[in-house]
Amino acid sequence: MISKKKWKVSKDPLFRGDAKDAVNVPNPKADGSIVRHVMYFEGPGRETPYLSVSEEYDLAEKFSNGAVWQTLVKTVKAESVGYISQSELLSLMKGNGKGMAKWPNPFEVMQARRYVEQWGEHLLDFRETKDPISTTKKIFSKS
Amino acid sequence: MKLHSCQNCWFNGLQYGALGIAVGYCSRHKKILNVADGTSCGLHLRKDLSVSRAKEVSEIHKKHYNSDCVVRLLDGVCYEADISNNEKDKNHLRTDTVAEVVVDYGEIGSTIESLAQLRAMPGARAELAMLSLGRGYIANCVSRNGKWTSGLHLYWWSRRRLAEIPEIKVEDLRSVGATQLSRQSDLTSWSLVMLRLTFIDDIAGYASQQNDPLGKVHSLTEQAALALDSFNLRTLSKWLKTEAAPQLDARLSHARYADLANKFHTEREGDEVQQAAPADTYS
Repeated sequence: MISKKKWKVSKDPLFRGDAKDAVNVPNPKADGSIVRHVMYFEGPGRETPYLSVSEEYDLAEKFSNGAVWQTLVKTVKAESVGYISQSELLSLMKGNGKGMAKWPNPFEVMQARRYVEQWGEHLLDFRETKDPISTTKKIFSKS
Repeated sequence: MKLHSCQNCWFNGLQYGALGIAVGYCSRHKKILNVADGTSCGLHLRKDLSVSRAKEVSEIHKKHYNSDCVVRLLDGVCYEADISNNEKDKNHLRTDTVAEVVVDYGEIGSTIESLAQLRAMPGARAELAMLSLGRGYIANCVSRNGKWTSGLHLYWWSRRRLAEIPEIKVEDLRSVGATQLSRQSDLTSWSLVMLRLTFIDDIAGYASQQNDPLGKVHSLTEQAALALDSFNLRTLSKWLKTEAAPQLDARLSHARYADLANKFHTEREGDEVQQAAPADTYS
């Protein structure tokens, strides 16, 4: 059996399914709850300071509204955008969650953790980003 | 796997996340869902949340999407290619035994009979359909001033298989996601057990509203999430046997179940006689 190649932070891209023209612009001032973000409670048009990205092109495509975009962790960091890896997300999402993954309902924390693993999800954190419009343009290219 | 799409809705008994077949079926719109990961409607209720949270989220959701038809998430427009109401397609779908019951749910025989058929079928997909459609069945009964015991048998069937870990066959999976096949199978099995617990939480919630002792059981999904910090199925099964089952049995033993079932049956028979009375008078 051919096993899947392990994703490497130093060289492998992260993919994001989004609109054809541009990547959705996050709002640095929006609520920073990670569980709220992953669980997508507010649905379309919700305000979030995060952008979800996946190790898998095919998964990103499932969330696409017309295009799959890509970036690298080193590019993200060079623009002072925060990066929360999948392993960090998984470690934060236990019980009632820790840090920005703290959430009143532990079941919803657990569901979010399962999704993060199934989707190979990582987060880009724009809470400290001054100009999210130009920054998203700089860090993403079409895949 | 968009969480506000038809795959994650109570009314689609054929799919949930990676579990299911290529198409879904909406028991409200009575349509085959050709692209259930990309469509939705204003009636959407999320499978992956408790009943109260699913209803809260649904209030936001219905502001974005029309309730009258199945629409594409991208633009809110109904496309004929996304759905099918064609009898030829439905007949083809009926060649799958679970799908046959799901397609005929509410059309042939009573809904509880269909749920009983699903309960008797082996396999994870049959349980998914029973739990998913069952949540809607009980919510509907209770919203019409029905008793929580309208879901009594459904509850008992789920209690009996509480600690059984469902086997996910390769053909039950729609995708492997970012994981390896065996891991996806485990995570899917986990998600189905959580749906089972969510279903029991729903019933306990309705029992609580009607002051039944079963309602004293604190949310099993929340307890499980606090007790288990990894997706290990063996640990989950042990927790279900040693922690969850005793709490349920302390409030609803087999003897009490039999007693409630008999009372419920007698009341229903009484209701049916009363409903039949005006017709008899006319004839």
